[in-house]
Amino acid sequence: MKFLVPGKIRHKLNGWVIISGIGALTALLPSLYILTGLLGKPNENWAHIREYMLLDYAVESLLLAGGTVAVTVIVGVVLAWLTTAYDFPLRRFLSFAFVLPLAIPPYIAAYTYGSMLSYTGSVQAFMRNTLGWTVDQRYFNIMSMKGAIVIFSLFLFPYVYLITRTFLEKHSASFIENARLLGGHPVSNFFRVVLPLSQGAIVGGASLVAFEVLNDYGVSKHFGISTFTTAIFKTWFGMYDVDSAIRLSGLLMSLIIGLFIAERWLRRRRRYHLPVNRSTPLRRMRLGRVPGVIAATCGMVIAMLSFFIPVAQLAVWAVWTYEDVWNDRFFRMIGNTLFVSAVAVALLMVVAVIAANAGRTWRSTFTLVSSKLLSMGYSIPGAVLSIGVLAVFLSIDKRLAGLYEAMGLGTNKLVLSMSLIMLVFAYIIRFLAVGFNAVDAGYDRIGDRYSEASRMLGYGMTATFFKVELPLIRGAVLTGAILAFLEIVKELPLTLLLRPFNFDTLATKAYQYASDEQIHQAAIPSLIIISLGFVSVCLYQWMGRRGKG
Amino acid sequence: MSFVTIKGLSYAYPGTTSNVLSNFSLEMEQGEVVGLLGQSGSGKSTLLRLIAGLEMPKQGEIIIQGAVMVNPHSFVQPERRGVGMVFQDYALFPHMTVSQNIAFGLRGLGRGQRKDRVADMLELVKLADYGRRYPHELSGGQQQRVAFARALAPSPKLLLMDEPFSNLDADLKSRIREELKELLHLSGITSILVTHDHEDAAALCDRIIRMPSSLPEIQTKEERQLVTS
Ligand SMILES: Nc1ncnc2c1ncn2[C@@H]1O[C@H](COP(=O)(O)OP(=O)(O)OP(=O)(O)O)[C@@H](O)[C@H]1O
Ligand SMILES: [Mg+2]
Repeated sequence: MKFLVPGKIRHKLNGWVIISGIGALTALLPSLYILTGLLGKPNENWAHIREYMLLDYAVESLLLAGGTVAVTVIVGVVLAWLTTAYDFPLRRFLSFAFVLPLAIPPYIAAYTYGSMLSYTGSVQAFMRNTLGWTVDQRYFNIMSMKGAIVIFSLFLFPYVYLITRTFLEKHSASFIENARLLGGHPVSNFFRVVLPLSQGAIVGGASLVAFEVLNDYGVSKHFGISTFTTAIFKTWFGMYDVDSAIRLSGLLMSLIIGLFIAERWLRRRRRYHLPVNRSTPLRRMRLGRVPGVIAATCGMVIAMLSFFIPVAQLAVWAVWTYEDVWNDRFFRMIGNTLFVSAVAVALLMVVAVIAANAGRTWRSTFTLVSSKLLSMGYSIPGAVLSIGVLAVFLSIDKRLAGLYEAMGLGTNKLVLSMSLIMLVFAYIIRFLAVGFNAVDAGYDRIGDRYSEASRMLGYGMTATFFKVELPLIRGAVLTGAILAFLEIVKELPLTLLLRPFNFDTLATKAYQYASDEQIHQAAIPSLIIISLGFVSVCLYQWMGRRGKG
Repeated sequence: MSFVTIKGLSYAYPGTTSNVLSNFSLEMEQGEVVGLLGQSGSGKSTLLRLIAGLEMPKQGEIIIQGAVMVNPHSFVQPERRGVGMVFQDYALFPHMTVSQNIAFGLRGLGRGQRKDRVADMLELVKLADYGRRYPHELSGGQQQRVAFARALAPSPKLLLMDEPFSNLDADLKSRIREELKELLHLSGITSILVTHDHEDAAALCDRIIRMPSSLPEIQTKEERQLVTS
């Protein structure tokens, strides 16, 4: 290689590393753009926003995220502990059912519940007509901060639950059994052993929840809460003030970076070296009859509220609106969704595999930082990322204006920034981490030995990848692809902001029906999204189980 | 001129400061089988990885058959070194059959030639009927022999073996040791065998060298300064 780099680097610098470096920098570009936006001179509108609205945005965003994190941590951790350490009726079913809410995007849940609980909705209608009750409207109004926190918590607690449960199953048996043998009271064991031990896992799950809430547009908009994300939409589309939108994005992004650092910091002090004891899973204790029934009942109520009831309601609405919604245009829209998602996933997985492979063979600060940057993409809210991506594409279009003219496309044409390329690009940046983490885990499982054996037998890095590594990490690549696909299919804010004119996906269509007061019509696209989610949740569970064996 | 020359080799794993190897030198004649003995952690595996090109030394050079493999100015990638390696855990590709594993390193041969070579190798390690099996369908000793056949098939200039017996029980070990001895002599290949068992080394090797143990006396100058200051 003819690169002018210091001695050591020269030997191992190769195509894989270079491509992943370029990838990391590209992924960083929109974020950098946003952050530099904070430095420029603000316009008049900004003064107004700062004076009258900014505090509200900040307070509401933090309240929403903080409240949701608090509730999800309590619910998620308690359920994780209950299902790993105790046996009670329906435990097996419930421990699976608690993961299912992940298949339902919170914005779909928000309008489903919003409509179910309204005056004309199924719940009040039932009480009025069948039971003959007159009810106080106040108890049914969930279109508030409290309501939003409840909705988010019901549908995001699985993040905390799943990560904590996996952790407890893998690592905790010996500690907890010891604590039991030492005769601690179960409740005090929970607080003194389980909680401190799983702090890292809990923080991990909680930060995912916080990122999801800050990313959200649909729920806040539907419930009339002014968060940073809804504010970005409003300044951009309501006031056409892109400058201020960028400024808001920059602020939100600083908040996110703060969260990111806080997460790292919280986890760092707790990096115990934990023994992995596969051989001895924690022996579950049988709950007595009364506590058992209480546990099962509470579990069932949560499972009903967070999955089965909204799905049943949507199914009813789907039957009502079937003829109205199911037509050629709807088919085309499904085709659109699948097409864009598939293209984005394919490209994303290629980048993810290259980055994971480069990071593995070339362990250095540089690749470490790249992979950290790649995984940050997931925490940048969709609205913020869209603005960054749009800005970057607009400036590329400006640079290419001469070329477009020469190609006969006309003057001042916006070619790239009006196209699907921009949307696909944004999807890749936002969800790269999902693919990357899966592939990285796959590489971790196979270790370096096979690749080294192949190198010793005369194959270079690329040939080794195709002949040895790819066949061995196929499962991991597939898992990553499925998860990323799902994220993309249900993605809302980014798609709303960056889609070409008249281009609809299942998510935008569902959202559009719901915001046009045609909530019943939103049922079919929503159910399709949920069933795709359901399939991937099942697959994910199944893969996890197989990986353990 | 000797067949393998290692001069002044030093190495520390990235992110660590203490040298695993410092100023290590070794000369080998063609066809010689050298046994490498040493305590656990003394850097035996590391030395093999350096010779193989899987790690890059901080200092020193390695020359095989007159060609520089690594020195401060150049580095030959592992796939270009013509060095074969039998890993401690064998690292047989789990998604390939025994035959496919052995054929893996046979590039640039025609189909027929390749088939013949695989058959020869299977014959050599007495596994002629096992070509279609997958690695997990073999016993430990059989896997070990496949690993050996796979490393030998491309006719490397130098064969490195990292504790090839460590996964075998005592009974099997003495049998395999005899077989390996025969194999090494039949193929006349220059090789380095890492082991921590004197008997193994004595039975198989023409010459035995001990790795200097990684005790404080082989600290580098800088480290010594650090300690004294
Ligand atoms: N990947 C690594 N990163 C950091 N240090 C390492 C790494 N691999 C080995 N070491 C350290 O380098 C030293 C030499 O290790 P090496 O594996 O070469 O020893 P060895 O002589 O082969 O030992 P054994 O007989 O136990 O196989 C040890 O102190 C070990 O802790
Ligand atoms: Mg070793």
